Amino acid sequence: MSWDEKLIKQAKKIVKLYPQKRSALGPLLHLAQSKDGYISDDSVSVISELVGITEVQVKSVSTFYSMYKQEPTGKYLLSVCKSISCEINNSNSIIDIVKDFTGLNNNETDEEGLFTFEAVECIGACGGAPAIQVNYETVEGLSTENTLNLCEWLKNETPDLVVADELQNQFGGTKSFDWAIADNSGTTGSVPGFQTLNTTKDKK
Amino acid sequence: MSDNVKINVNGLQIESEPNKLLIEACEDSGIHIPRFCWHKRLDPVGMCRMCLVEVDTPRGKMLVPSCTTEVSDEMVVDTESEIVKKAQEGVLEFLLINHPLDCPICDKAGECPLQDQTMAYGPGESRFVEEKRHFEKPIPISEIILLDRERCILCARCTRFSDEISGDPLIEFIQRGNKTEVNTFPNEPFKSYFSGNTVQICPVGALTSTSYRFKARPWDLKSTRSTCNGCSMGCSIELNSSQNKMLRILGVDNEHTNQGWLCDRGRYNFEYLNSDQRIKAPLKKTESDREETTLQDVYGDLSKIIEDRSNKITFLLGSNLTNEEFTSFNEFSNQLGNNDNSIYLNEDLLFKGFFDENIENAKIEDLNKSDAIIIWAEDLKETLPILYLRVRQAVKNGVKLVVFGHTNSTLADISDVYYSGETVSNNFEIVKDISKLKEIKEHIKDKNVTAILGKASPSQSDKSIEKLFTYLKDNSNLRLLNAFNGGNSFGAFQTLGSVKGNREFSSEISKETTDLLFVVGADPVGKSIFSSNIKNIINEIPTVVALDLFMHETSELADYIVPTSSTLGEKEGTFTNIEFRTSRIDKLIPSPGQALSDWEFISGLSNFCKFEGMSESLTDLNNKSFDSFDLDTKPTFDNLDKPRNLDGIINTSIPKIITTDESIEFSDTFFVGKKLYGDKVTERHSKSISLLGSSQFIEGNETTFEKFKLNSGKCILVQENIEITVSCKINPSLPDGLIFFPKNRRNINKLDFSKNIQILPSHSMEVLNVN
Ligand code: SF4
Ligand code: SF4
Ligand code: FES
Ligand code: FES
Repeated sequence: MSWDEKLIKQAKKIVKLYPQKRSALGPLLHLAQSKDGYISDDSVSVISELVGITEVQVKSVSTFYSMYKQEPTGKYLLSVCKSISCEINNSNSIIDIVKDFTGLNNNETDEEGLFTFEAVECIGACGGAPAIQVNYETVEGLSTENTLNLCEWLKNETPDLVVADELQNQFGGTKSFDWAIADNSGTTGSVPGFQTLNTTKDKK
Repeated sequence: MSDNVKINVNGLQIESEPNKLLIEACEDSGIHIPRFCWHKRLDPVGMCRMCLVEVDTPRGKMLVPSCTTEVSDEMVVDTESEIVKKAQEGVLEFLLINHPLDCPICDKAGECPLQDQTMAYGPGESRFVEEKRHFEKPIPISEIILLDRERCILCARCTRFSDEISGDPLIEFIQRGNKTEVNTFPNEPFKSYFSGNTVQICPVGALTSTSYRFKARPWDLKSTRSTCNGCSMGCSIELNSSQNKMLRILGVDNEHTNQGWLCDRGRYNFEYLNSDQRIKAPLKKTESDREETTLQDVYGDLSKIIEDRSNKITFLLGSNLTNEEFTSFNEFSNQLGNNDNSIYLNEDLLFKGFFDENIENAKIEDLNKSDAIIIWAEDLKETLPILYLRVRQAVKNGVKLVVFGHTNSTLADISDVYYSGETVSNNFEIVKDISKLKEIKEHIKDKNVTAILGKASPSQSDKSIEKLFTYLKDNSNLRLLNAFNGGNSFGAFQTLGSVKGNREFSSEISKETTDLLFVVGADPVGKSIFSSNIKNIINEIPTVVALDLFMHETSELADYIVPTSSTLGEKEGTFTNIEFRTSRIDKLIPSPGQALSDWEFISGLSNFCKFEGMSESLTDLNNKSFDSFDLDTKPTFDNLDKPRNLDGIINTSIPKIITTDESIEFSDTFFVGKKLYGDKVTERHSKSISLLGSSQFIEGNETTFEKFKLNSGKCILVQENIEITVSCKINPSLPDGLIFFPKNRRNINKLDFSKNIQILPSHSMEVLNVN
């Protein structure tokens, strides 16, 4: 097995939470992603053994959901919303700016491994449209100018930790409302952290 | 059972059982609703939307998928309305968006549901001008199956089959939406014993078999219905040939036996029929070699031996003959003045079986109706694969499963009780008092129980299985399937009057008791546990006649070799399966060269010997086979050919098996069994099967392998001058200290398991051969 003992132990603990082993599949895929930044075939094999289903069944689930990444992403995963509310608020030009700046098409990662760009469906920030997520940290009320600033800032500063509130203050505009969870502590990679799974990254 | 419901379909009143799916209820009343994803034997998923019909609901008329909607009383349904037609056109238009329409080079064309239904229900014209999605044209997903993802319409029939029915989900949908494709996990091929079924049920040409690819067009095929003789399940099959070559075997949905499915051995072990290695003319041994001869010469030589009444004549018959052929040998042997004790069946694991008036023979469908299933037998998955599927189906329907012994380790996962190591010893003897086993009692006490009982290992005496039987009989309402798995062995038991096996052959026969031996469709020297013994016997008997399809280790030793027809498509007759269901074996292609049916040979020989009172035709033999059966409708050709009897006729005639209960001493580290694919001569000459059945390995659990220091994944088996490198497969369901040897794999069948075998760890990766 390519997972170290600690991770396996954590995984087994997650499996125990469910009456049926295979129900642990989703969280375990998250665990795999927090390990490598994507779901490796190796991890698929490990998970298949942990939950007692075949590898291809695990693969089937992991490829179904677009937030389980099949390949390593860049340091910053830029997810620009392309759904309706954002679209009527000019998300098209936001998308163009990000594309231009990074030189990437949808779902591509640059050679330096700095940026991955994706255009995604509604990220739940319609009230503050148009919106973007940097490593799943949301920034609302973007202007084209600020989008460019955001990209440049990321490129120049390459912060290890990005925090939604800080990004919002620096680059955001109108916010929908203050709905964020209290523990808005930021992420260090393109993997969403879950406190319940103990996969959150360093807190600020 | 609650009353039937009445529904109105297209203005017609039809009746249906409650809770039936609308599509099925309509089908039963002759109203066809087009479909892609729905399959009678699979759970409905409502994937393709081809089966939309209009149903009156309190909220007005609605389009609903008829494959996921159950009938209810007074339902009003329209399957042909304008809206339905529009929906069907729409669905087809969508399905065709990404379909490559490469029908001219597609194997399915001509029998393709997508083609047919587009003709019948499609829009007629395409509006799609964009680029279709592209995939690499067929990719192999196993040694014998190819997948063309461009053609796939994502109906999930193949994936559901492998998950629900065969229980080895090695193919699945990968990705989502427009990108969805069927695939395997990288480097984890679709290695399933039942993989061929997915090819048969795929509604397009996405899944194809290497064996049939580009061989013929469906409209050029000749076909007939027959019965598979690969094991005693007797699955119903359709044979397809073109230009006198057998090209394909399909499963036929016989409710009582295979329900449409086949194992891959049954489906693909036909390629040998077309092999140029078939024996085509009679051969006679000369001083140094063999020479071609004529049948008349063989008859002449043999009749001289036969006419000398002091000569004793013995038969060793393979279990793949038809009932009529067994009857013919029986008649012949009686003519010789032999009592029928001179006939032996080429089977290693015969035991007396549980047959008498007081024992109720189970039918296969009883598995589904009982409270519990008890299994003590050879590995069902390896020896009676479709029975294994039927057991899985029953378990899925809530029947409890109790498995004894480590042979059926593949059932361990789905069983309620699995008695291994502590209850059943490595030598397959029961080591505990059965009546004290709490777990089984709870499942059987005063319940309806179907038991599948058979000898699991040649090293096992009859006692344990008899104990289990008595216990079950005393405590439950028992029905029983005797798990003899050799082809038409049940036909042999019934038509031969009495029968013995290889064990008895090797202890009773010698040159003192036999002057002339017929070995018919049997290769005991190559395949039997008693191989070395039997080889010596055959060598010392003055005259040996082999009737066979191929030269093999046994026929090679014979003085006369007569080419015969295969039971698969080359002759007519009947076959009797494990539940005593007799069904038709039919002929589709001619036999090669001078090959003839075994009964034709016997008939010719009897004529030559001027025997009187022998049956003269196949029909006579057929009638005679069932003469004594106490049945209103006997399984004669006439009766079996009637449409209502196509699925076969059950009988209850009680067979007699004579065995000596001597177990062979094996070291209790070994356990020898069959794998589905192996090294039988017909399998060697069938390309698909020989690809599947060539790996050599042993199995054990991790502790066992550690004990033998076999952690490198390879080891060398050494016995006298034999040295075989095999791989070590981990099977966690095996008890500690036990190693499984697949007896029917090349070279492993050369080992003598009654003697010591050394197992040495190996670090080299190369495969050594037998010296
Ligand atoms: S390969 Fe065939 S059976 Fe499988 S999903 Fe595609 S169309 Fe259906
Ligand atoms: S289960 Fe037996 S009878 Fe059925 S297809 Fe396989 S070999 Fe033939
Ligand atoms: S549409 Fe963009 S956040 Fe909802
Ligand atoms: S047959 Fe009903 S949805 Fe496919």
